[in-house]
Amino acid sequence: MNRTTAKNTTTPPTSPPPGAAVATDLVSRYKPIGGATDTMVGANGTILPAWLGLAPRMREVTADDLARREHQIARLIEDQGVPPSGADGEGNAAPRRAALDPIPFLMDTPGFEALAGALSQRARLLNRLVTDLLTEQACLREKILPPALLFANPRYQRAYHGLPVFGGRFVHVHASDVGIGPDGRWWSLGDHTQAPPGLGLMLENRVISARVHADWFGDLNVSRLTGALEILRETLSALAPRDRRNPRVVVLGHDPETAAGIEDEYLARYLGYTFAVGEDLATREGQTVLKTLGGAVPVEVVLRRIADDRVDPVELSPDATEGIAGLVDSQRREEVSIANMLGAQLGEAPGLMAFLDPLSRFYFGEDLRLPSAPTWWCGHAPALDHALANLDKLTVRSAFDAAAAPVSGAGLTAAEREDLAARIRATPERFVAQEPVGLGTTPAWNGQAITPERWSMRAFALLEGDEYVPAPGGVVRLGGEGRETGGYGGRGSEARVQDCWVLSQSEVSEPTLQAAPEERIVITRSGSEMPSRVAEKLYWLGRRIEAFEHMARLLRSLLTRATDDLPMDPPEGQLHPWLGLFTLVPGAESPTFETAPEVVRASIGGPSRPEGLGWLLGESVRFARAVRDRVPHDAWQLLTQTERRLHGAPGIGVGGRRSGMVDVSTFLDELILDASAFSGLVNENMTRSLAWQFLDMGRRVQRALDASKLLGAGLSVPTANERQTLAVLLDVCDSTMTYRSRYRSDVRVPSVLDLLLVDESNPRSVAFQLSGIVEHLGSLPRSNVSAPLDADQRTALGLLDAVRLADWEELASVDETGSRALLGSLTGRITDGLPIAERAFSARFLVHADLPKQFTAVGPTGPEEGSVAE
Amino acid sequence: MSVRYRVRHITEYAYTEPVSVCHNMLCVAPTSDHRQRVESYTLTIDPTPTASGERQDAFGNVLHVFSIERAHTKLVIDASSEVVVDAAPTEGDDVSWEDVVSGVRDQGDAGWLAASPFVHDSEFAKRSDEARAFAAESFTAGRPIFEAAMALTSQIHSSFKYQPGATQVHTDSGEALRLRSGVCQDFAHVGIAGMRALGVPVRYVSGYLRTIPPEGQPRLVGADQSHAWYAVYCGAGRGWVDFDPTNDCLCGTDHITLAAGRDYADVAPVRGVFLGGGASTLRVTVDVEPLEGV
Repeated sequence: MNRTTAKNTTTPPTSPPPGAAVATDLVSRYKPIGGATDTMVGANGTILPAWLGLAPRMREVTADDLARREHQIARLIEDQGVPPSGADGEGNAAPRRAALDPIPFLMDTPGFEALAGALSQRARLLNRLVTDLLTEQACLREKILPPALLFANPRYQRAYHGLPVFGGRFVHVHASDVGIGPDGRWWSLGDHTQAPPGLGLMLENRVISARVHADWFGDLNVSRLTGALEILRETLSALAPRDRRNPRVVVLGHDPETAAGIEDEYLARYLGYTFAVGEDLATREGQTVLKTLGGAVPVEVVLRRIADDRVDPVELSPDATEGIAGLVDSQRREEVSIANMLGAQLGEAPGLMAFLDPLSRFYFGEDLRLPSAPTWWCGHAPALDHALANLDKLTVRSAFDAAAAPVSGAGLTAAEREDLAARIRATPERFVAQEPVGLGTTPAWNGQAITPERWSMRAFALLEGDEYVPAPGGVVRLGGEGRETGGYGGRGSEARVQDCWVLSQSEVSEPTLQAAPEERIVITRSGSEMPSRVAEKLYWLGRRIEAFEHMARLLRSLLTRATDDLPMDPPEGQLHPWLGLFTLVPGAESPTFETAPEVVRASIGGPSRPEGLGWLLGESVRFARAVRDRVPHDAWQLLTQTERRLHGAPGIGVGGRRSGMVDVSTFLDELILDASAFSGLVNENMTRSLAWQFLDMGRRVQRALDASKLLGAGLSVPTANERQTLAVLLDVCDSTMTYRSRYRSDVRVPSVLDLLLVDESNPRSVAFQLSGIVEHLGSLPRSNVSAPLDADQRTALGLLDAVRLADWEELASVDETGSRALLGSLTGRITDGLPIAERAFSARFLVHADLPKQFTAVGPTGPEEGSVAE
Repeated sequence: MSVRYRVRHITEYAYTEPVSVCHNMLCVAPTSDHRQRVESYTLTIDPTPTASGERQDAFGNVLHVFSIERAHTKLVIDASSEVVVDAAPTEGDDVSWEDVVSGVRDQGDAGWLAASPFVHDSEFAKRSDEARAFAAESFTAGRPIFEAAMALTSQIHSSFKYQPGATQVHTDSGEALRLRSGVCQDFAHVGIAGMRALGVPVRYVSGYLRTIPPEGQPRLVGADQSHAWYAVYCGAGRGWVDFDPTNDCLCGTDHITLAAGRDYADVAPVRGVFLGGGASTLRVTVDVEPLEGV
């Protein structure tokens, strides 16, 4: 991406001479596209009211300043854990989110209010429509809506009928993709009634834009979004079947390693709710519960971000095993309330858009104030004829799937159009054709200048009591200069969005999402309400980051010895004994002095080489991303910074140069420092909660494994020049300094074994790790306190005892077969025993159950022919 | 004339390892409808469910939802009922099939709304050019719908090979049509796909069939099987009429209805998920015992 590197050849000087500014500033050079409504410049070339506040400031802004703001935005987005589209990162499979444009989208209060009332009416209509479709079906009976728009919908499920509807509403959060036509009228391009995507994105954009544009934001009286979220929180609390004052609300989201899941998690964090995926929840005796380390806790309200038909494999889509078995039944038993209500999905079928106007008159006797883009539902013969005859001018969409990508007929070849027409004719009720509305333009940053781009906005309306209140904001999607946005894509590598600022005429107060002052806060110090899934990620984060640090130390040691410490005359054809240690390095079966540097390079590796440095870090970042809200923010930032460092590593990555070994060595030093800094941040900034315990436990287990393997590999078979091996061991285990202070340069096997294996005061020793593990296991929550020790505790304790009882003199002695069999068996016992303890510990805390399996049934076969009586 | 039956439908799952929890939905309760009356019904689940409930779905079928939240290695679902089944209808309006199609499509037929869910594609019965062409051989222009449906039923019977094992429980109409073989479920799906391709509302019906032992031999208890066929909407006058393509007949006192839906997926007897269990084996026994003619 070369946007940020754009030089200021076209940029005016920061202090233009008087008279010159008019011709050269970014605003003056902005030229709207003829025929499209622009948000900044009116038909006669004047600046429109919404822009009167910002335009003068924008005239003072240079291209460099905007590029700087763009860069800051990208960095802030990255800190959230999701690189923006367009960011570098070769082989980086991390999820992407839409890039945020450095120009905000501005609306003044009158402009927003015109939209707000119409949006609110539309939300009310769609809620009413869904309610009717799943109860009385008056709109079908009275022939206002063709029944195919309900019954041909592949998402329609019988289970949606007859469920208790708390608060009487199906739709609690509604979103519409809206735009302005050439005549200045608002149009809706489509609706979202199940779990409108983009709510989290809107909040995230706002947090970022308010920070990057603090100068503009503060002066412009931008309406805050927190009020809207407070409405959502109140609505969700009121939905609870019980305990309405303080119900447990969870956000049921997508896989937290996907962009959608990260957005869901952001929303959960912002609202102060627990984020959960299907496997974190279960139903017990009809109740919906959250599976935590401390046991199952009941959940009253589920704000679900996933599709209606995917929440329960028992009564909805049988293959939705990511859902919660029994959730529908739990709702039927009035144990849990789901928002948006199951079945709300039916309201977002694009086919309905052709009928909303008559439906509005039917239900409310009102004209639809936010009209739909002209829509032809092909299930009606005349509409089908029109659509087929005008395919070159229309956009074709699924009649039922609001998320399916629209196809613009104009962009197709004649043959492709014919193909599309044939598909429409085969199942016409599944298609709608829509007329482009001629969307308006808004100023956007193209890297050098501010230019007009087509836009559409996802605007949200939230239920408050009986009314739908639009949030003062939205996610504005930019469509480039020519493209009409048929829908919306909040994600993907191409998407670019703007934050919508609604400018208030009065001073804006600073509300925050906090409890009312009269509510007393309950002091709590534990965090036992941690989903087991989160504990598991933390544990593996600990293991991977430790393995990363260990590998980096191992490589650095190899490199140092290969470059500056060449030993004298290794026996002909024989490897030097310490090189045997590096059979632990992936891809380095038997390195020689010549190949050692190559081995180091290869072991740094790309993200896809298992056990390589790049892979270990990638894994650490992946686990950390999944538990971002549980690790200190600085630690998270450090990790992403390390990842960036690794991508720019010498000799690897795009365009990397084959730099000298000294560079690689310095680079490894930096990585080791980063890893140490991460540990420091974790240890200094995390409360000694369950989260910390699991993270630390992972680290202890990994360090014990690595150190045992190293000692076993290096010392169980004595070699001629053992001093070399011992030096490497001390170096890799970061204990050289301690050793020197105790023994100076007298390096011997027994004393090294004492320090690295049995000395419990050395934080690098095996005994120290084992004792930490035993302590953690003993303090984790137990369901039955009086029961004897659990299997994991017994195993870990056994290992610790074995190390404590070991006599380092005996361990160091070489037996008649010429090996240190005792040492070999002790380290072997640890490397075998820890995985056993880990399995028992996983079964106790991490894995609550294996994957659910689907019941199979026997289909009817019917009796053989001729057996029926005539 | 009507016949009274006692029907027993036992589904048994046996597991090699304990199942820690299961959640199920059953569709094993017969319902009263235009052809039959359910006089008694009992359902026994062993082990006793932790939570269970019964409800009717939007098509009038009785569903049971239950969970068992303690370890078990065996699950037995035992449904028994007494049902009185009427003889097949013999008379009715002779409406052309095209009139039925347009009556439902243009909402002029008195039963259009109830018939509307059954004209669209469903998971196992999808309209296609092939299905349409197949059905069109019997659905000739202007033919009365009852006659056309009977003809299609005979056509399926004669052009398909009854062959257990040729298809699976999840085979759809398209594949069955290509194979020209299968079991009652496939025959029903093929007929449904063909008629829906023409716009005719059709339901999938699951149920049981009375089996007549060979001359001089006693009836074998538990040797019966689940059966499936379709019901065609023949206009408001005649309503839904059941045809059995496996046996090339109109459904009368030998056919006991369990449930009706858009296809098998709507009326699968057992669905749900379970945790654990290792390998599982499934055994289904059905016993249809005629008690008396009523």
